[in-house]
Amino acid sequence: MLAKVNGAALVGMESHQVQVEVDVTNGLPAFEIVGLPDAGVRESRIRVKSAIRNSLYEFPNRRIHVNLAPADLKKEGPSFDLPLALAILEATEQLKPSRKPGFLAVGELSLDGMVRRVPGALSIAMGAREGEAPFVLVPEGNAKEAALVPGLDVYGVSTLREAIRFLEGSTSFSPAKVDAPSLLCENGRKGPCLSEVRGQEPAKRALEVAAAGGHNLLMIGPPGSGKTMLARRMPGILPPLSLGEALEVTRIASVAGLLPPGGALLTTRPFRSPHNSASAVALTGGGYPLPRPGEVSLAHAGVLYMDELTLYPRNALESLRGPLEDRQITIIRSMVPVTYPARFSLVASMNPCPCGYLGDPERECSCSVGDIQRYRSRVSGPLLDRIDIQVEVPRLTRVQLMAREKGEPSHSVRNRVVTARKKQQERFSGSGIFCNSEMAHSQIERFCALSPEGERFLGLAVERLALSARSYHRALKVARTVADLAGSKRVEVEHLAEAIQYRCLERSPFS
Amino acid sequence: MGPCFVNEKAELVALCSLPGITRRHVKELLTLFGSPAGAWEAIRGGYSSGASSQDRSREWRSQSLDVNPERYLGSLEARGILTVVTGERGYPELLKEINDPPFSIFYRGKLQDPGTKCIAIVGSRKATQYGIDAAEWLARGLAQAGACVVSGAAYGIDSAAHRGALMAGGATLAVLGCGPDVVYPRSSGGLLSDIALKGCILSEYPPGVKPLKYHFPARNRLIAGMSLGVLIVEASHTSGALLTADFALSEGRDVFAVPGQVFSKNSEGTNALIKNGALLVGSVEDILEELDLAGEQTLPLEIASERLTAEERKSLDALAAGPCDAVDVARQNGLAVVEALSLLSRMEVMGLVRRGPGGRYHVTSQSTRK
Repeated sequence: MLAKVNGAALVGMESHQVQVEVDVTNGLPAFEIVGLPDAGVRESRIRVKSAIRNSLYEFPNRRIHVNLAPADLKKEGPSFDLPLALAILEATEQLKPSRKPGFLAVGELSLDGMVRRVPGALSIAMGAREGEAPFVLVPEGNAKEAALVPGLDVYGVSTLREAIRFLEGSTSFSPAKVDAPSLLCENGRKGPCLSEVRGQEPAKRALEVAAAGGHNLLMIGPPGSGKTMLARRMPGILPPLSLGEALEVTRIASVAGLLPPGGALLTTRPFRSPHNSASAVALTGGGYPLPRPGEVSLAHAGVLYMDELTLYPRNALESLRGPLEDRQITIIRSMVPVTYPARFSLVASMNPCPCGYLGDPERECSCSVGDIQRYRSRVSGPLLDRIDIQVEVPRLTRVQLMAREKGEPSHSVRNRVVTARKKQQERFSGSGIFCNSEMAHSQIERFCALSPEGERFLGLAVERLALSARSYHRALKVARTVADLAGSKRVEVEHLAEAIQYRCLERSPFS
Repeated sequence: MGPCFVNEKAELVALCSLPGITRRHVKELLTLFGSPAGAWEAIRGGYSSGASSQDRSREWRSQSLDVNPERYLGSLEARGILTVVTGERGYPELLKEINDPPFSIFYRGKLQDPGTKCIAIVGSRKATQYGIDAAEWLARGLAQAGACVVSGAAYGIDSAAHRGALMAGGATLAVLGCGPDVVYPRSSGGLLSDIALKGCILSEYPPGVKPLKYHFPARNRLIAGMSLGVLIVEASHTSGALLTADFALSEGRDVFAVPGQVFSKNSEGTNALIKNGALLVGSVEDILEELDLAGEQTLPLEIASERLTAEERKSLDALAAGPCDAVDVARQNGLAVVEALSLLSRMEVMGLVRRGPGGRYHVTSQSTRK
């Protein structure tokens, strides 16, 4: 007998419907799977066999042919276990489904017949809705996540027997329900607070400007000056996630298998801090046979924090240039090109010199000028070009630390950031960009028009402080954000004055 | 100058250009064989006691067979590298007087006129902003007074001195520890080509010689030897600039030093020099007077035309006690930190303050002169 049940294969973030066809015929007993299965799929033979037996059904002692259609798409992972088991049971007439056909089932089976979680359930559910499946059957642990898709019935099952009972028409099942908007409100306010950082007001201000304009930020300071502490507070001052963003973040995490068990919607902005031994592929994504999301995508809509920027491998740093520019990344491997979103804020930190103590009030730096230049040149010009704000984070002496106030809490900074972002959304509505950092040259000219006084000031600054041409445009963008924070329509001299401060690496005598 | 001398010059220059030859070798060859021509003859004949190794002497010998000194001199000139040898007109007067003057000098640009007063400005490579400002300011003043600023084109103080002199449109002379066509440090390429255009780059090493560690003390001896006096702007107590001061002293030249904070490691050397009798320099006039250059024209220092606001004046007062950061300035002025950041940045563009490492601001020469 022949039976067909739908499963799903993930290619990047997209889900493709895969038909699991099972034919049980007479002949020497065998269990063959065709249709480009990888090792994980081929191993499902063992799991499916044991799961069926241990669920007190009979595994046919006949010839079983399995085809995963379309046959030219590579399939990986254990998520075909459940549809495969269901199809075998249907083909041997142990299961007589009374529900609508054309549904989609995913899930990994354990030997005792339990159904385990699989990655990418949200994407699979989205694909099922597009394919107009009547409902989807997912592992219980994925039910909440898959239920985020509106207009689709999602049923969670925890064992194979439960799945069979459901398909035979038992009425004791109801579709999983999740109220996404209320989840978003509930726990959008977590994470460390900015008021926990003593002193460092200029750096905190730079963090605020970076958050408000979507600018990338580089902090330069000796060890122990609080760079990491500041960076960890960046997600907390970014505007709360919108529902669309939250779904995207959740989807990426789900594909990468990083959702917490039973979790539904991710409601806080991601903060990723890959160690400096990370390779280019770890940052951008990749893998065989189908590429997985890298750190730039996992940090989508959030913060990618790169501590000790100069210690990353050179090619890993350079690989960031593409995603920083395009806000997404397309990874091409042998089979298919896969595109992941990568709209993240880069927050990086580095020491001022190899020993870390250049400019420290209390300790002497022991590096030679050549050392310092070599150290700094590890961050290439094109990468620095994409970092609008460079700020020094000096180490404070104990006396200074004690004397300085705690400062504002994160939520009041965030309110200003949200207001500034709203202004930018109005300004750029319909132009395909969202914040000041994304402005192209023509837009800079249009939106950052200066008064004659401002022109004169900027000209003087470029000359006196020896700023480069690229700095000129960076400074204009940042000045636009400073003006937005101040609620000013025009970019005035004081906004420019603040903006040109954020070019400290370029102005250092060692660059 | 007769054809005979031209020939002798070419032979001497070619002799000094043998790979790895030192001044001591040349001296020995000249004493033993009387003239450059004699020295060449001896090398051609296999004389090798001066050479440090077998390979080297073979190399010299093969060079002596291949190289035609006059054509070599011509090829140098074609590459824009000029030479001057001891005893020739145009050889720097002051350099003749030192203990061991170089036999030949390779240079690019225009060697300054014999009457020009040269003053060396040297100091730490890893200079503070204060040192760089001071070097630039003093070099500008000296250049405006018609002096030629001599330095070593290294990072930090040296570069600042050259820049200051060029800014004032004055003469400047860079003495290198490598061939005159070698760009070292590499990042000074722009500065060096500026100097070659408007001043002079000079070296006792032939073209192509790499900057080796032991070249630099010898280079320092030339810097001191070329100059009436040596001004050390910033030096820690191990700095090579102190060597230059020692050379200057042993050759009877004046030593000047710019004082610094007692806490600053970069001023330890200069402060010690002052304690030991170097002349303390607080302005260009201090040097000019000492060297009897005061009569020459001096231009007034540039003063920012903008009028100071009350806030700016207050900030300057706050900074007068020493460098401090924006937060301290904000607190003393009763401003928000953001306002202070913007204010200080504006003042920096006006040239009233400078930002140093660690985000600390300090007042500049301009604002102190008001």
